[in-house]
Amino acid sequence: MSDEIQRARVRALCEAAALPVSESELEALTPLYALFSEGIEMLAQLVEETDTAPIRFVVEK
Amino acid sequence: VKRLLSIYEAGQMVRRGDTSSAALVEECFERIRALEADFHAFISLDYERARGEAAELDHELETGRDRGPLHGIPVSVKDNIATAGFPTTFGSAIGRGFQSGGDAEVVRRLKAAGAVVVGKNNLHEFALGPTNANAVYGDVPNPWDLSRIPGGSSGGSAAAVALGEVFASLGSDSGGSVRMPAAMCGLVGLKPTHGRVSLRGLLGGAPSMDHIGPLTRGVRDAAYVHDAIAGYDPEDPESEPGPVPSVVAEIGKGVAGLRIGVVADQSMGAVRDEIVAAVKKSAAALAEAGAEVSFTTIDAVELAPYAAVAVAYPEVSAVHGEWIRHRRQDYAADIRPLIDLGQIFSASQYMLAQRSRRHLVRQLDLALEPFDVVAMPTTAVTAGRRDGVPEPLPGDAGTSTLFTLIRFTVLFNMTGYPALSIPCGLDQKGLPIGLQLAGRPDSEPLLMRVASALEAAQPWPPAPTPSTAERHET
Repeated sequence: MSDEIQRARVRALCEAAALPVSESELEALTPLYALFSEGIEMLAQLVEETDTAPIRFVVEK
Repeated sequence: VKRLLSIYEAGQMVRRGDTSSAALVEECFERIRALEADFHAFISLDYERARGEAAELDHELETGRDRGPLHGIPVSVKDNIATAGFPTTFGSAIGRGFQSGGDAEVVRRLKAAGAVVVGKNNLHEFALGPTNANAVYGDVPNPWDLSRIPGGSSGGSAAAVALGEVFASLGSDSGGSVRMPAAMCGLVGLKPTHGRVSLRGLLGGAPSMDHIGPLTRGVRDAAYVHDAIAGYDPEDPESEPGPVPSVVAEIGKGVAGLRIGVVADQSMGAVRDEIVAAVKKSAAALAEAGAEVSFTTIDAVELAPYAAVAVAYPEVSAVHGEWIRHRRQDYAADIRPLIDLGQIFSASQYMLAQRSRRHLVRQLDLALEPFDVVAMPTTAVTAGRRDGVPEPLPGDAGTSTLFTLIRFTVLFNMTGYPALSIPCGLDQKGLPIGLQLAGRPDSEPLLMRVASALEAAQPWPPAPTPSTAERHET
């Protein structure tokens, strides 16, 4: 994801959270968000692989 | 050059009549008056209160009441832990003037054990960073090199103990905030098992990752403070019921036959070569002392910082939700993005990070299975520069300074397992290096055994360099 798209995404998230973030604060926040989003994607993969639900539900057709 | 007294030595002198608690308090305040203009290790001090308490404790000893090793010993408390009679500011302009209604449970226990609280220590604002740069209460420099950070967030606690302004300090540790400054200031720092030490009265970093532990100049001193503050607190929902055995009894038992797994390579991320060398030297010393030492790695270390951030910052944001909206300008510029980050994480991301903790526990259990204790660097680098000029670490992913600093410590906040940092050498710049010992839940006695064996094998402090000589004089 390009820096510009990432920045727009973070801006939108801040607006949704009603956070009064300045442009310079957005500058500091965007790379942090990108880094940790990447980390969370890694976690998602890990949890999917190892944290199997004890009961699986299936839909009977 | 004389070194600073330990709690044990000071206690012996008091009981022999060679000194008194009142005299120890006077000596600590002499140092505080001489050093505070440069170090800002304290946010608040109360000389008259400390003097009065010391006199009462001296009288108690004279009349035959001895509360134990901490009787009459001057200590301090990080300023995010409630302490009756002192303000509790959290190192923030927002907390200026805040008075707690009573003592945190750990402070109550310290006082009951006879310790004299002389003041409250400076910290990185709201315990949310490693530098202890604090525009409101003054920056805390590293006592070993004033141009460098002391580590954090318990940097004021670390500086005060390293300088001999007090004998011990209580810090809080949500990602490494006791162990990192201990490593960077040449001290022992203990993060106990989650639930072993009450958190009631603490405003830490992130509630599910918070711990309270001591910073001291030696292993036995850390054991004394641990024994005083550990134990069930029915009013803390995180507190674990059941007795906590003394760890002081483990000091000097030796490491013969103990299985110690050592991480002394770059397998868990980039580490400075001289830190790896110091860890290897410690491993050799433990093997020489009779431990069964082998080299290993811990896979969970790599993922822990990502999971930790996704857990910590939403929790931090929940704590600061109102203040960050209404008093935004009162937060330091480096803190605001961290709290904002927590605000924009989604609930599903937070839950995912929480679920990943079970995975981290499983991975850590597997890594610990062949061993009684594992040892590794506390930090990948020694104390960085206060001016922020980066000192690149070859091979580091370069993700963020905070990641580099908490890489080896935060896993034990995510899992709640105990970990302790002990000095293990100096780098080429003369800065302290920390060795982290960790183990299974409630393995503090083993950590103390290993730490005390290492302390005996590698006496600390090493011969002070000219720039550090002054602080070792008593």
